[in-house]
Amino acid sequence: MTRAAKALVVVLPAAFIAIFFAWPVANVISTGLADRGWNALVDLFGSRRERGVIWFTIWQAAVSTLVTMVVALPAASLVAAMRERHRRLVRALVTVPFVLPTVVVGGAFAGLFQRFGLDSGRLRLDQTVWAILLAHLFFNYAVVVRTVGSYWAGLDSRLEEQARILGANRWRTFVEITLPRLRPAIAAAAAIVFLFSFTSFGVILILGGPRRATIETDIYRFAVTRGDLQTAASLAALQLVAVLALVGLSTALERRRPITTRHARRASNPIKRAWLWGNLAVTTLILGTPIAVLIERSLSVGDGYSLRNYGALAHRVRQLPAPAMVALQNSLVFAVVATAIAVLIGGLASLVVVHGRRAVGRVFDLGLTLPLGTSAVTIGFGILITLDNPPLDLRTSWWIIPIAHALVGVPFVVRTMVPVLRGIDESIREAAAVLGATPARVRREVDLPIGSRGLVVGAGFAFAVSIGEFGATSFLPRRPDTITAPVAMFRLLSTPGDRLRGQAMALAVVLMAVVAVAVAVIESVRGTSEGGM
Amino acid sequence: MLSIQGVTIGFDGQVAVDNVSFDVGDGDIVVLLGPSGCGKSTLLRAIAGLQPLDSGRILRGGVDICGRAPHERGIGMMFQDHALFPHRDVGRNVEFGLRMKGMGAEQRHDRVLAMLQLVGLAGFERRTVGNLSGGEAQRVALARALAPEPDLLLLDEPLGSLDRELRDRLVAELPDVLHRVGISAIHVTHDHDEAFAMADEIVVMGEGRVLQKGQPMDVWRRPASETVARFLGHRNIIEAGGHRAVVLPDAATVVDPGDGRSIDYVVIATRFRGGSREVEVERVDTGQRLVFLLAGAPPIGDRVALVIDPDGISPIE
Amino acid sequence: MHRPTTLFAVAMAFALVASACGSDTPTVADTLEGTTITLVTHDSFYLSDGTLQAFTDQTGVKVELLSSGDAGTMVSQSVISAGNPVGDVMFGIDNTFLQRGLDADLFEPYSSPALADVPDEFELDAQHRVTPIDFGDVCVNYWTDALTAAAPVSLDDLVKPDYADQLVVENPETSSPGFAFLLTTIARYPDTWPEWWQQLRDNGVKVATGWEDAYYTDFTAGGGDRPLVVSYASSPPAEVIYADPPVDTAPTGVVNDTCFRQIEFAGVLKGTEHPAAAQALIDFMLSPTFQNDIPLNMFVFPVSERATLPQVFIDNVTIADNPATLDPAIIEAHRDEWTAQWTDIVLG
Repeated sequence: MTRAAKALVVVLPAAFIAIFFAWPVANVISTGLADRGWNALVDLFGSRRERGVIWFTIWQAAVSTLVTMVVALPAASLVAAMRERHRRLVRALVTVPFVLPTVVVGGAFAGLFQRFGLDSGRLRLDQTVWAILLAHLFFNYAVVVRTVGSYWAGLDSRLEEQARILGANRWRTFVEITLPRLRPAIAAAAAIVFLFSFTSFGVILILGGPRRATIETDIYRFAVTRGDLQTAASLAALQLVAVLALVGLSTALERRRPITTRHARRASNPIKRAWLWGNLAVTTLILGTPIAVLIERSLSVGDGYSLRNYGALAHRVRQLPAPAMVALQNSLVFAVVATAIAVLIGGLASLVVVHGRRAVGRVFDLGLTLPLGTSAVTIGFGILITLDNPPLDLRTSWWIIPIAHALVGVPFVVRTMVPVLRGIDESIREAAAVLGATPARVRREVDLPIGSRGLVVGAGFAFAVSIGEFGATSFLPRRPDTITAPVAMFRLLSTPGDRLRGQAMALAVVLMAVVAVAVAVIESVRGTSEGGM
Repeated sequence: MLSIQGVTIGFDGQVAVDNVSFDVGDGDIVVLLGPSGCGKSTLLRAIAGLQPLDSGRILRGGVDICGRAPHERGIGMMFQDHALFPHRDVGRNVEFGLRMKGMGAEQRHDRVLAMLQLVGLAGFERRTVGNLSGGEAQRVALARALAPEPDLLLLDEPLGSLDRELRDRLVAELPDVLHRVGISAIHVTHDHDEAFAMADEIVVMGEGRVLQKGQPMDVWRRPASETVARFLGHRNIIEAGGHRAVVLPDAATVVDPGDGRSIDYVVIATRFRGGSREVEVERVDTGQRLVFLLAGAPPIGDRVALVIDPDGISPIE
Repeated sequence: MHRPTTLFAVAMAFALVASACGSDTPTVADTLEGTTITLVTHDSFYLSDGTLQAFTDQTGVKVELLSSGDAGTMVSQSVISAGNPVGDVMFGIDNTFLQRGLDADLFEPYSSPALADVPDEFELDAQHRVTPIDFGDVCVNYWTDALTAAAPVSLDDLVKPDYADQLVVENPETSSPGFAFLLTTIARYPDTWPEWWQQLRDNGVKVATGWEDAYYTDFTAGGGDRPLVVSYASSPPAEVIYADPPVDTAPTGVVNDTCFRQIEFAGVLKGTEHPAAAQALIDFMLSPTFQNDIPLNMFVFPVSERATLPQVFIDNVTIADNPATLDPAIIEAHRDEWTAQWTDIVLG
C-alpha cells in the first residue's frame, strides 16, 4: 500500500464525518447560540421544566437499555449456540422491527393495548412510560441479539466447560466466565440501545402520550413548532455533550482490559428444550404480537380478509407521487448505497480505531458514534445551512439522503466491527507479518476477513437503518420521486380512509419481508473476501 | 548465520532481556532453555522483529537487521498456540507466505502439497483449521512456517500444548525435518528433555540473562551454576569441603560391599522411569541423599555399596 | 387598458399566465422557455398527474418539486436558510405559520392579477408577499352511528355530560390541527377559553400526539372508542372516497361551529434567480386547472371563485359560514404563551 492509500484509510472516514456531520452540527448550534452564547444553555438548566426533560431523557434511555439487555441477552445466548445457518436466519428475522416507522408501530401497540384492555384502568399501558419501554424493547431487541449473539458465537466455549467441571453452576458460569468476556459486545450493544432510546422521537410522542418530553422531542418542538432556534440549539448542544460523555464512557468500558478471544471450535451444546421454548415465547410475544397486528390489518378489508391492499401497492393513489412499490424501490436503492457508504467508511474507521494512534482512534471512535445520538433536526438543519454553496450544495442532491442514512449506519458498522477486531489474537497478525505480510497486507488478509464477521452484521444493521429511516429523511427537502417507503406510509396514514390505511399496513408488511430477505442475503456474503489458492 | 550481540529489552522499566549474546551456526538448532518469564520468548520475538530492542544488535550474514520490519526479515516462526488463520483452510494457511512472496498460483499449489506431505498431512489442504487436533495444527503451523523457505526458523514453545506421546514424537521428528530442509532454527522451551533431544547448541537463560551456553552434553555434565543445574533437572547438589558440586545421576555403580572405594547407602525410594530405574539412596553415615540411575533393582530398605566416578562430579559456583 | 372580465378570464384559461395579458412584454413563454424552477412544499402537497405539465406546456417552465415534512418543518427550514433558498416558490405556508415567514423576510412581494377572483377575506398580507391558494377548516368530526346523543352543534355542547369521554383532540404543541382547534376556542372565547378547556378536561377529553393517532387509534374510524375527534371539514368526503367497502354517504359529520379556518399561501422566495417564472407559477396556482385539482388531492378547498368543487365534496361538505379566524401576527405573538397555558390546564 502506498503512502497515499495509507492516508486514505484515515482521511476518508475523517472527511466524511467532518463534512456531513461535525461541520453542519457545529454550524447549526453556533448559529442558534450566536446571540446569547452559552448563556442560553445556562438558562436551560435554570428552567425547571427543562431540567425535568433532561432527567427523563436520561432516565428512560437508561431503563430502556437495561430492560432490553435483560430481556434480549437470553435470546442472544440462544443465537450464539445455534448453527451458523440458523443464526443467520434469526439475525435477519429480528431485524424486521427496525424498519417500521414509529407511527405504524405506535398504532400497532395502541391497537394491542385496546384489544387486551390495557388502554385504561389499573393495568393501563397506553400513554405511560411502560409503553415507551416496551416499544424501545421492540425496536432494540435486534441490536442486542445481533451484536451480542454474533460475538458470543465466536467465544471459545471450552472455558465455560472448564468452569462447569470446576463446580460452577450454569448461572455462576455465565456471570463469572461468560459475562466478562462478552463485555465488549455488551458495551457496544448497550451504547447503541441507549443512544437510540436517547434520541427516540416517535415512540415518546405517540406511546408516551402528550405529557412526555425528551431532549429530542423538545428540540423538534422548539425548532419547528415554536421557531425558537436559540433554545433548540442549546438543547442540541446539551444533547451532544451528553452523548459525548456517554459514548466516551462506553468506549472506555469496551476497551478496558481487552480480552482476546480464540475463535476455536465450539462444542455444539445441546440447547435445553425449556430454555429454547421459553425464549421463543418471549421473542414471539415482544416482536411477534405487534407484527401480527400489522399483518392482520394489512389483510383486513371492509368485508373480511383479502390481498387487495397488497394489489393496491402497484397503483398510484393521490397521496403518493408514485405507486407505493416505487417508494419501496427507492428505499432499496437508498439502502444499498447507504450500506455501501457505511461499510466503506465504517470498515476503514474500525481499522483506525483498532490500529491507529491511540488518540486518533479515540477521536474516531467517539466522532463516528455521535450521529446516532444526535437529533435528526440538528443534522437536517445543519446540512441545510452548511452544505448550501457550490461545490457542496448538497441540500437538494439525491446523494444527501443515502449519506444521511449512512451517518446513522456507520456507528453500527464500527460498533460491531471494533470488538471483533479487538478480539483477534495478536499472534495471528504477527504470524502474517513474519510470513512476509506488510502491515497494510495484514489488515487486508487478517483484520478484514476476520472482521467481516462484524462487518456483515454492521452492514445488515446499516441496511435496515436506512430502509427504516424517517426523521432525517423528512427533515431534508426531497424530490417527490425519491419518496421512501416510511415516508410513503406516513403519507398514506395522513388522509382518512380504510383503503389508505390498509395500503400503508401492506406496505409495512412488504417492507418487513424485504428487509428480512435483504439482511439474510447481506449476511451470507461473508467469507468470500478470502484470498483464493 | 545469525549473531545476537548484547541484546537488551525492557518493559515498563523492567529488564526482560539483559545483554544477551549468542550465535547460531548454519543448519544448527539452538535451543533457548529457561523457566517461563526468563525473557526467552521476548528475545525470540525481537529476532522476528515483533519486539524492538533497547540496545544490542542482531546480525544476519554480518548485517544488522534490527531496522527491518518482520515482513522484511524472511524468518519463519512457529507460535506457541500455532496462530493459524481461523478464516482460512489448511491449504490457504500454508499458502499464505508464498502469496506474500508473490509466487504464482500453480507453483504455490505444488509447494503447499509438498509441505503438507513433508509434515505428514497430505490430503488436508481443504480442512478448516478449527477442526484440527493439536498435533495436526502444530504440523500445519510448521508447514506454513517452512513453506516460504526461510533460512531461519523460530519456534516459540510450539510443543507446549501437546500431549506427551505426541510431543515426544514431534521432538524426534522436528530436528529431522529441519535438518532435511537444511535450515537453522532457534527453539524456545522450558522443558530440558525437549531441549536436550533437539539441540545442537543450548543457551540456558534465567532472569533475562544467558546463564550458560554450549553443546548439550557439556551443559548437562558441567552446569555452570546451581540455578542452571536445578533447571536442567539435576538433583544431586552436594556440598563438599566448602565447595558445591553436582553429582550426575549416572555417576554411581553398584559394587560388592567391602570394595574399598565404596560407600554404603540405604535405598529409600525407587521410581521406574522408562527403562531404567531411578533410585533414591541415603548415605548411611552422613544421611546425605542422592538420586542415581542404577542397573538392577535393589528393593527399598536394602543396603547398597556404591562407587562414584569422580568424572561424574562437577563443581559449581 | 382595461379589458372586460370575461375576456380576461378566457385569456387566463388559455394562456394561464395572467401577467402576459396585455402587458408590454412580448410573450412570457418566449422569455421563460427552458427555465426550471423549484417549488418548495410540505409533504401533503399532492396534484393529479399532468397538472404541472400543463403549466410547463403553456410557459415552457419546468417545475421541480421539493417537499420536506409538514408545514412547520418547511417554514423552519426556509427560515434558517433565508436568503439562500432551496427553491423559487413556496407553497403551503398557512395562517398559523404565516407571520414567522413574513418576519424572516422569506418572500418577494407579488400581486397576481388572478387575485381578482379570490375573495378578500383570504388575503391576509396587504403587501402581497404571499398569495392565498386554498383553505381548509379544522373542525370536530363525529362518527354518526357511534354517538349516544344527538350530534353536538357547538363548542358549548362538547363540555356537556352527553359527550363525556367522547372527544379526542390533538396536542397543539405537536399537531397542526390540534393547534388550530385551540385557536378556535381562543377566537370564540377570547377571555374564557381557559375555563372552557378546564371544563372539557373535566368532561374526559383525551389528548393524542398527532392527527394520525387521534383519528386511527382513538376515534371510531380506527376502532377506537371515541366518536368525536378534531379533524378536517374535508374528512367526510375522504371517508367516502377511500371507503372499503364503498359507501354512498359519509359515516362522519362535521360540527361547523367548531371550525378554524386554515388558509394556505404561496409566495415567491427571496433570492430566486427566476422571479418571472416564479410569478407565473403563482398565477398558475390560481388558475382553474390548478384550483380544480386541489380538493380531491389535498382535501382542502380552492380559494378562487372560478373553481368548481367535485360532486363528492358538494354532497358531503358544508363549508362553515362563520369559521373562527385569528390574525397571523397575534397567533405568532401568543403561540408559546397559549400552548403553555393550554398544557398547564389540560395536561398539568
